[in-house]
Amino acid sequence: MFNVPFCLIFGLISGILWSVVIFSSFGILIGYLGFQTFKKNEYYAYYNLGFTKTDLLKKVWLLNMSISILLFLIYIIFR
Amino acid sequence: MDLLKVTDVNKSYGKKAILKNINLDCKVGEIIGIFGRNGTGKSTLLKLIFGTVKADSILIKINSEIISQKAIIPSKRIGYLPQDTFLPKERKVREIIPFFFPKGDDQDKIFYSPQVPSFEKIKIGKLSLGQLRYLELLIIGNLNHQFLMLDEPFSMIEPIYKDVIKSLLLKLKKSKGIILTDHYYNDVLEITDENFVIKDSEIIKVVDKSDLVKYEYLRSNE
Repeated sequence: MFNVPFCLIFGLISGILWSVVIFSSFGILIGYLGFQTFKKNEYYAYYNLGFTKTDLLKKVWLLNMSISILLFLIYIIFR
Repeated sequence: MDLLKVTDVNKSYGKKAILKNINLDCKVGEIIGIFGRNGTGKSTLLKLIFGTVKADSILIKINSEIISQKAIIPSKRIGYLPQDTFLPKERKVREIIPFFFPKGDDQDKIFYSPQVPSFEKIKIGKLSLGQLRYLELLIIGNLNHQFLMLDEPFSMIEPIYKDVIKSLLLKLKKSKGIILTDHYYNDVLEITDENFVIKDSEIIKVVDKSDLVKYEYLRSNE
């Protein structure tokens, strides 16, 4: 929610490849800070389902990393 | 009957002791009420038991099994209703329910609960406070926790939903143990089996309204 717009804006300035790299690195921090600031109480939904904050961050990192690798491969193939 | 036993709870913020040597038991089939003036540590106590606030010391046991604070959330044995809503305001009720309950049968329990059909198409942010609190309790209550910590389930709720929530809590206590805190003492006293007041960082058992006056939670004319 916070990471995607940040990476899109970053991509417009620095190029799509940087946007993909940021999505699975610094963008996660932006997403975390955004959620922590504007949606902090929604963590309780995940807590009640048994997920700790660390679990969530690991899942987000893995998902973003997978998407980034996929996008990077698509970029390499079609450029 | 499963038993949640919380002992030796101590919590300070800086030099200020909030909770001192608190002990509390809750059995499945029981609703425990906790009263206390603002800032006495009621919410903190529930968060300590749920593991989202770090205690200076705490021993949590379910039956004879010791569970560390860090293990409470992954164990899924204790649920927690926070004071402020934890549901995303921009989503509709019927979109939220499958997020918590992937199985159709479990979803149906919520969709066919009293009142829910009347607001299932509405966005969370458009629900009345009563509808929202009731929905949150339905969700938390239908997850598989053995014990529930409820922080102000009656706060700011319209009367019609107070009765719906009381019925729900009495139904839930058949299969869960519930610890709740709220300033709406009449509603709480109506449904609880045991009550306590937190005063001067200590927890004291109370029997009725006169005890709440005695321990200065209420004034004598309230």
